[in-house]
Amino acid sequence: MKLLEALGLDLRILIAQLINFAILVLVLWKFGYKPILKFLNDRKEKIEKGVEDARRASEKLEEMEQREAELVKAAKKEAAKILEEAKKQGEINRQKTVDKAKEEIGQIINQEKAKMEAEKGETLREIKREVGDLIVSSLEKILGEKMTDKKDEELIKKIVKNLK
Amino acid sequence: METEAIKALAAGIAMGFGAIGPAVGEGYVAGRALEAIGRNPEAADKITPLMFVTMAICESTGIYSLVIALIVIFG
Amino acid sequence: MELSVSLAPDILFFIGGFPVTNTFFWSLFISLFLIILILFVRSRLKLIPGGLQNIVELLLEGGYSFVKSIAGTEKKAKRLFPLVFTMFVFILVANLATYIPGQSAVTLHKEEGVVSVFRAVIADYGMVFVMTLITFLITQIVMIAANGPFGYLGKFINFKGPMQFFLGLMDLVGELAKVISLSFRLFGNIFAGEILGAVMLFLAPFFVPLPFMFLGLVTAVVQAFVFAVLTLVFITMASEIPESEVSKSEPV
Repeated sequence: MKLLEALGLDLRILIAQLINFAILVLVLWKFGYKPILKFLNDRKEKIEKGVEDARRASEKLEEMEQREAELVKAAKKEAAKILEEAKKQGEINRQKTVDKAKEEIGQIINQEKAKMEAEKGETLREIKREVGDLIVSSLEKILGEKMTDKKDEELIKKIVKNLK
Repeated sequence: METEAIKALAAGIAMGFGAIGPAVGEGYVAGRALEAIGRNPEAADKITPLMFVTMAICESTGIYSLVIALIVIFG
Repeated sequence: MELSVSLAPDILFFIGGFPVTNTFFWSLFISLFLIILILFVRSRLKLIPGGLQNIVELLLEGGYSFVKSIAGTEKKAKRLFPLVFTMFVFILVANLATYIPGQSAVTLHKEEGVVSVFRAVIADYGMVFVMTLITFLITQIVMIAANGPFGYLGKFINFKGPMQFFLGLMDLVGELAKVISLSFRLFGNIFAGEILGAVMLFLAPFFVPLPFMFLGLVTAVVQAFVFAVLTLVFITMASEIPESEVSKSEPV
């Protein structure tokens, strides 16, 4: 066929090209693609592992942070509770103390009052009695005579009434 | 007319008419592929190589006419 | 200046009767470049990539995951990846190498005339044909391995009925057509790009060829990708045939 001639097909060149291409494929495969693809694969795995590790680490960190935050929160709550309780307790104690003090003071005042009242009454009675005696003796002296008990008593009463 | 002239004419006609089909077909393929990409831009990576392969297959008839033209001229 | 279009590569010199063409020379050069590049990158692998290593890593990793997504299983991907990826890289570098400026000025003077030392590798049908042949052979081998030798023959020649016989023959034609379409697609695109560029340069040397060159760059990448992916798809399809037949025949 003249076309094959026109295309310049020569069996020797075709074979040479075939060998050339086969060598190219083999060399590129053995020394090129295979090690490079393996290298890329290794690197991919490494990167994946690194990413996974980083992810895990950050997860752990987050978890720990969360736990810490929870702990702090719980502690704060507890502290607030304790404080609140203490405050309440303190308030109650104070109130109690104040009440007790008030009561005691009131008692003491009452006692004092009662004592004073009693003393006053005693004093008054004594004074009255003494005054009565004094008046009797003085009247006896003044009148110079001993009155009958009846008269005496009437007179003293009258005087005492007038004295008041 | 000389044989050479007729050969040249025949090759030209073969190539010219043979080019019509693939041209229309490839235009259609490209148009539909672009339509598909427009409808679904995420699929562009998958559509584009397929489009090239399909266009290459559409081109086959044009290639046949090229072969015929070469045979007519040189064969 | 005469616009010369030649399908065949030009012969630079002979080594003991073996004709060294400019595309063969160039493909050797590119192979060497790729090998040195990958050895260089490999010897300087660092945990934190930078510069060149980034690009290589991106290509390798993206390519591998893409191959896996089409091949389906890790095992298949591991087996197919070197071939497919080498095809892709080789075609890509060969295509891009044509954009190195000044290379068309390097010529060799011979008795027949001036011969350019560098020529787009993929614009030589020989190289493309070799790669397609590899794809074709691997596809057939995988098919035989998947179906068994008789199952493989039975796919193409069977006497279950006139329709099945006809379809089997069509499959046979389809297999051959696959080779032609796969190889000529790549070859045709790059060759046409080369000719287009040459014509544009011939007609208007400044600025006008720029958009065509840009288009050529896109073509270079896309065609390299398409060739590799089609190879991958053909081989994968060949290995998946029994499963699909089983699943197809079960509900019937």
